[in-house]
Amino acid sequence: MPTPTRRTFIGATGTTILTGLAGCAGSGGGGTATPTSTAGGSSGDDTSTPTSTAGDSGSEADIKIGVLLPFTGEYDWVGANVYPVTKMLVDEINANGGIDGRNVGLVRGDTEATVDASVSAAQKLVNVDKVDLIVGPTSLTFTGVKDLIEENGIPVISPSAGTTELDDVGGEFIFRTVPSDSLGGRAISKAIRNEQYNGITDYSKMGLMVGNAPALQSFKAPIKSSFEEYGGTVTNTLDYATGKSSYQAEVSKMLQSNPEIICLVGTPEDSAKIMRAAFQAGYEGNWFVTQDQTNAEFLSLIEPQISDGILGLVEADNPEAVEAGRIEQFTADVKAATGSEPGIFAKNTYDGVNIGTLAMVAAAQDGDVTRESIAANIPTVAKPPEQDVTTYSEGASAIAEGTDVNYEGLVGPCDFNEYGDISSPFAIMQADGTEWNQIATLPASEL
Amino acid sequence: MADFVGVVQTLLYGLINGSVIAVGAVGLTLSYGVTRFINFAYGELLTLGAYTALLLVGMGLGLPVAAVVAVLVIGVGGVLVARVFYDPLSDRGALPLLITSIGVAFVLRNLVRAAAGTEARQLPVPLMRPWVVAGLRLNPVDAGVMIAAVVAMLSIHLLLQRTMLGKKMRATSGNEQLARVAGIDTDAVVRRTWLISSVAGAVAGVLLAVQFPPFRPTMGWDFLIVVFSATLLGGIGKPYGAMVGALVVGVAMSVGTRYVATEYTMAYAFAILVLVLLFKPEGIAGGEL
Repeated sequence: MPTPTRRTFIGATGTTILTGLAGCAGSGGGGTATPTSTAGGSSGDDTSTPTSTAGDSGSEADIKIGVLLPFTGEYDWVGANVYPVTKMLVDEINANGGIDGRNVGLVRGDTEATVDASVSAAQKLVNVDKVDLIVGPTSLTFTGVKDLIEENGIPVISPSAGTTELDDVGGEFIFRTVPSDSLGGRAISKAIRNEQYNGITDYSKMGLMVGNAPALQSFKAPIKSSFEEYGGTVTNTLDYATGKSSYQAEVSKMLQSNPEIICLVGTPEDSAKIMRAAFQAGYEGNWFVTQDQTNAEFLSLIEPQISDGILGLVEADNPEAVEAGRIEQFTADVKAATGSEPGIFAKNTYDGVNIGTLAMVAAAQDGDVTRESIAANIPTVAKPPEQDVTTYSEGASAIAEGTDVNYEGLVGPCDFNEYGDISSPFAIMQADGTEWNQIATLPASEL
Repeated sequence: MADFVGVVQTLLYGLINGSVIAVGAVGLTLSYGVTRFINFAYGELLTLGAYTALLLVGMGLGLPVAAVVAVLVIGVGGVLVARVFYDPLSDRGALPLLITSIGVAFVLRNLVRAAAGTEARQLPVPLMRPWVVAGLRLNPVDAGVMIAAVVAMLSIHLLLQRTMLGKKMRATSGNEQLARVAGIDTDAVVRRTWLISSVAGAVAGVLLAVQFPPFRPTMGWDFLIVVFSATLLGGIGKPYGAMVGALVVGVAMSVGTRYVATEYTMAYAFAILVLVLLFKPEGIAGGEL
């Protein structure tokens, strides 16, 4: 057997590592694997393949909505949470005669959470399927399809893209029914700085640890700048590599700055490792985590000694929707339609699709349903002080009677600003052993 | 003073991490030394070790017993994998074996995924506060892991130096044909080497899972890069070189993360590797073994 030299060995190893890494990247790798993958269950399962036409009306539909989201790969849970809600609403519209007598069809575009795949999927939706409205995409791929959207004048409503990169680009074609991370970041800082919201103390020395993935980094600047604006001191801002096996050195560096509380923006798995490393290094301060970790799955990854008393933030439901029982109704409807609880972004989807379809009704009322007329009507159907409506059917009847409407959603009033962004209230949560309890609500007006 | 303690603390973390890397690197380098091909499925042995321990714990065994049983099971499993996939190709040169091992890695990893799911899991390790001595913190779990790693390496040292098998392994590693002429059953040596290599891999996997929960089915594959760099650094095929290489890699990652920038941990390991390959291409250990 020939004995390879060191040189051939190293060459072969290098080539193979690259091959292996390419394979690994293709399959989504594991390091940054997303945490919330179980959040929505598999409610999106139906037999149609990604980018195939779904829904009742198929490709013959008169009006088409494209759902541009990851349906495969490590972020497949986003598609699995959003698509069934979209389908539930569209089915209901079609069962009641469609929009202006026309059937509404759904087409899926699988972004795979990568920019390349999202561009191909978006091109197909725009040029081949000729959709009239796009629901999606996520923060991970928005920058890749932004130009395509704007050049073709496709109205887009994203229920899932919080990225700060979209803060000043929307308003004409691009809208979102999820608050920007800028607002989420301000909410975190406000909650940490004020005992009124966190129920513990006015923390003044905060450490900030952010994973070096784009979706996480989006929070960094808003949290840091607003915490300083509210009079606090950021003891250290530390970007860490996601998906590592250990974080002792990072934690050791952070603890040297003596924070009273550490705000941790990361995936649940990395966060669990970091918080455990800090506990094992003797850290006795508190933690504040973001929506990704403020769930039961995250608490199952860490011991109660660590999680007891930590704080987290989630989007709060619109108080008026809660009071009127609309949240409860929505949960029951989704369960009846899909067999599982609504997951993350489900409520945002409900609002986004309702607004989009009401804009179609308004466009039909004005003359014709085109991409342009839908885009123009999106902000107006959700704008006060017109008649408040909370469902599609209520809004569609009002518009048919010639009344202007103001859609009020599950996540908030959904009044778009000039950049197509909404504000929504946030809930401050505190972990108590194995569950999260809401301890305060932070209204959008306070931010 | 505080800074001095910080430096020593960082070195200590580096040595603790390095000791786990070392166990993995020794296993990999031993198998390379004797078989002359690099086993890309090695990382999966780490994963299998951790998941087998998890399975056994789930069946009611205590963690220490589960860990020992898991290591033995995976040791035997590693030999089976080698006999089924590698032995038939052993006379075709290193490249077909290497490509095969990548395929085996994918198959094993996805089997773990299919059996255990992709969500993060953890072994029942008690959460403890650190001991503090003169400002230095040492966690009991880390100390336990380090002791286990040292014992594992010491065992391999004794095996190589004090047993007939060790001598045969060294002979086969040095020159297989000569060893065969001298009457050594090199096929038997290769099989035993697979056993020892797989055991070392499984030990590293269990230690990694104990020290840094939670873990996923990709844990071994992700860790393989670090193990590779330690192995190359020490001079491929040289167990003592791999041990030293692993400690250097562990310390480099710890010090780099702490004092340079936190977002490039792996880069420090590779920077050292590149420097060593440029200036001392035979690895830091040099020479034989």
